[in-house]
Amino acid sequence: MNNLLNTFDNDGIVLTTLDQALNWTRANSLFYMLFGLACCGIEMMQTGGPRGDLDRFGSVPRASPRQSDLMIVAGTVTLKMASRVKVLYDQMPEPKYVISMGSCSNTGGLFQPGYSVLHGVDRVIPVDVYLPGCPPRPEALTSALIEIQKRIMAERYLRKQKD
Amino acid sequence: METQNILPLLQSKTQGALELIEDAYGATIKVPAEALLEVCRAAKESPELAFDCLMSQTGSHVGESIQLFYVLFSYQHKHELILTSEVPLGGSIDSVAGLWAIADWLERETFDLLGVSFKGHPDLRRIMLPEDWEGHPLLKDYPTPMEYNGIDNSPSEITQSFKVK
Repeated sequence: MNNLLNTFDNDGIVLTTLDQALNWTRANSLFYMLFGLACCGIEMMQTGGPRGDLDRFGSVPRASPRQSDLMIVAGTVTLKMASRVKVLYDQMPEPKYVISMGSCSNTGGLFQPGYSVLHGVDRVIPVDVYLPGCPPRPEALTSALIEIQKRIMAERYLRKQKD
Repeated sequence: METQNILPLLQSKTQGALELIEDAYGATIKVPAEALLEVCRAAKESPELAFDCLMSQTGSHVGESIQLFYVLFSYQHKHELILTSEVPLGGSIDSVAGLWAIADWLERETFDLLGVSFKGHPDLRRIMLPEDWEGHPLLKDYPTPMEYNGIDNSPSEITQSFKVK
């Protein structure tokens, strides 16, 4: 890969085509971590189930962060869980993406006045897509996944590595 | 059996002065803290009462003290009894974990959230909050923490704008 990168000085047709091919494979094999924290987790299961059917996007649940590309933070993040979420995120291999699913994970939501609830998961890990709703319907989560796919398709992976 | 009829039975088994409290929520028996274990043992072991199930053990911060509740149920006689007891803030009371095994976790919860320590409890640790948590959140004077283990948890500007002035 490095040989290839050094051969071409600028983003020619070879690198962009390769980029596109790589992105196409990455975008259509987004393994997400099966990681439900509260009621949003139930909607996530629905999305993974036969009706929402995330599998048709090549997105299958993984039980280990080490095999995942995408973290869906589905539910209320408590302060006790916050440090664990951070550890799980750190264990995921690069490149990795995060969907913050639902009001609780975005801002603390309904449980914000609680003494033990984190005011948004973005205080602990970086978030790519914020998905509003309480909880969001499976269609909404599917659209968030498509949003992530668009992001991946727009990335210039090889160019990024060279810089 | 009604609480009114249970009271004399329990009173005959203990020196501590029991008190019948009747309010909008029903009848309860108030037990002095030092007599609690004795009364609970009598409630469980006398055949006419046979309270074999501790349905709930909880508490609340009232004024300068913590009021503890013990909800008992008998599967044999199908009757219910509520015992209350009072301990000072941060005080201690005998554990009933030796009588009902479920009291182990219920008392850990009361310890976790209200700071009551239970004498003779086999393993009195926090059950829900992290081990390094400071304070007991269900106390009325508990301040909401703005920071925990380096995580900033102060309300954002948007949150503050929703507060009723």
